[in-house]
This record gives sequence, structure tokens and C-alpha cells, in this order.
Amino acid sequence: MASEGEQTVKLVSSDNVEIVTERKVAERSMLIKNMIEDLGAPGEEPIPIMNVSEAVLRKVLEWCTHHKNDPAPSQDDDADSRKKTTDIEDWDQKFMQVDQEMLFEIILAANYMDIKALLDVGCKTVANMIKGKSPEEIRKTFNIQNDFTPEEEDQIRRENEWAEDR
Amino acid sequence: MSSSQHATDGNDSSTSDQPIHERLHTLRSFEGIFAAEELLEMILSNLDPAQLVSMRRVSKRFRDILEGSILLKKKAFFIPDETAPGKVGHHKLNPVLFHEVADATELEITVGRLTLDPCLPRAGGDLRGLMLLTQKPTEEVTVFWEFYRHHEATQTRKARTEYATDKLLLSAAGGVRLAHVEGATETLVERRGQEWTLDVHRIDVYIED
Repeated sequence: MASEGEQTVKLVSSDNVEIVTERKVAERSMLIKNMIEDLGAPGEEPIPIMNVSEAVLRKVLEWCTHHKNDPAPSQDDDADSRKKTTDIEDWDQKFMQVDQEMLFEIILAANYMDIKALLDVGCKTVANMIKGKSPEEIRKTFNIQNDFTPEEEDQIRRENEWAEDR
Repeated sequence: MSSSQHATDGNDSSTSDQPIHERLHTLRSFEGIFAAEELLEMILSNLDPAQLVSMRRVSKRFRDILEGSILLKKKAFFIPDETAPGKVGHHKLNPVLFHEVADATELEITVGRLTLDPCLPRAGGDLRGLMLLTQKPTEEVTVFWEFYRHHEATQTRKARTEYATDKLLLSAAGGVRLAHVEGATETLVERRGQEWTLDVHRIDVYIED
């Protein structure tokens, strides 16, 4: 049996592809970490990641590999991340240069797999896409249907005048 | 957190040659994000207060989340956020209402200058009056108003402008809001009378820690 640092785990994506990865990498995901603790014998039994497809899982594991030695989030992590507005470190910024579909998939996967730091980076990336955009531009960027009646929209436009006219 | 927010099927890795499927899939991941209120909140919480207000116009879904989310209302300075970081000498001033005029960290004081005219009537539904001046909220602020009046030249004196400053301590449980400043402004303008003009570009707020 390998020492704990070199232990591997088998993950199975939603489309039934088996991916073997380092335990330390996989344990960036609290979902996997807890599963391993519950299963007791890592490496033998494959761990199903039911909501994440192979392509997305590989991408998420790429992030986990780069960040495998990051210090564990501390108690006051919440307060810290507030201060840092929307700064994203260079490597993460490059990592997030994917199409919108993949970006959303990564966020959903990070949420499901409980990888707080990745979820945070993903959300900030989307926020940066929104920043400075008008409601019209936001609708266009994210393909969102305007479901207000013209009267309703006019009303909000009047209330919002100060906020939009900047 | 619900697990139904993320719907994928078994063919995800082979979408590149299936444009229709790809489009469908895109739609799903969009809906996944936008259906999960917590995720949308998390994304939007990175934005500044003015944009949070402006985004109410995107769609009903956005309006409802922006108006209903406690987290986002804190981010937009509408409800007190006691957990907001407030290091000594530095309350976070509401960027919609103020710009910071002095880095007075050493004095343990925050000085902001009002960027809007508190005497101008605002459109109905303009919610800025309800906005807190700072986050975390400050229950006590000192406000300085500057007034001036002109004296015409007389036989013995040249024409001149006279300045006067009014100072008030405003306090409100749960945090001082713009409406408090506006109310005080109205009172002071009335008390000074027509002779005096308020310099709306010189209304300063001092916040002690």
C-alpha cells in the first residue's frame, strides 16, 4: 500500500468514465473527502461523481492539481474573501478562459463537489463579465429573456435612472 | 442545496460534433446557474451597489432575487451588515453616496463627501434615501454643511462672500441613512433662510470609530 501522499482514488463521472487521480488532489473536494472518510478504503472502490461529466470533471481536477498544496481554508476565510473584491490570481484567470458553457459547468460542479475556492473563482469570473454592463448587454451576454411588460420595464427604468446613468 | 440544479446526460464529452445537443446543453447549464438562487447570489455579491440596483431591470428573476436576498441587500447598503469588515479608521463608505475625501486612518476617522444633492427631489421609487451611509452601519455621524451669502458692495466695503458652517451629530439606531442627512439638511436650510445658499458640493460626513 502506498503512503497517504501517493494514494490514488478512482472517480467515476456522470457519463461513466473512470478517472484515477491522486487522493490529495481529489480531496480538494469536500464531497470526495467526506466520501473517502465514509468508505474507509480509498483507491479500491470507485467514487461516483454523479452530477459531473468527464470533460468537466477533468477540468475541475486540473484546478485541484494546481491548488493541491494550498493551505486549508481558515475560519475567517469568509471575511478575507470579502475584502478582495474581484481579484483573481493569474493562473486561475487563464484557467477560467473557457467558453461560457464550460464556465457554468465548472461553477455547478464546484458547487456540487463542494470546492469553495473554485466556486469563488468561478463566481468572480462571471461577476467580471457582468461588471459595467447595462441590463440590455447582460441579457445579450447570458441569453436572458426580458419578461417585463413595456410598462413594468419603464417603471423600473425610472426608479433606476440614477443607478444606470453613471 | 438541491441536486436537480445540474442536469447533464451521458453524452457530454462528445458534444463537439452535435451542435443541437450542444445548444440544448448550454441552455441547461444556464438554467442550472440561474435556477440555483444561492449561486446567482454568490455571483452578484461581487458587484457594486449601483449595479445591483440597475440589474433589477434585466428580468423578473433578477428583480426578485435582488429585492429578496438579504445578502444582496447588505451588499447594496440597504440593510445593516454587522459582519462587514470595518478596520479601525476605515468604515466602508457607500460608494453611491460618497467619495472619500481624506485618508484619515491615523485619526481613526472616515471622512466622506456627499456626491449627490440632498435638496433635489428624487423620482418615486428611487431608494437611495433608504441607503446606509456606511457598511458596517454607523449609528453616529457628524455632518458639516457649508453655507454662503453674498454682500453687495457698499460705500464703505467691497462686495464679499460670507461663509458659515453648520455642524450636527446625527444618530440613528441600526445605522444612519441618507434620509437622515436629507432631513437634517432640510431643517438647516430652512433655519438659515433665503439669504443663505447651501454649497451642495461641500457636505462632509465624519465617522469616528
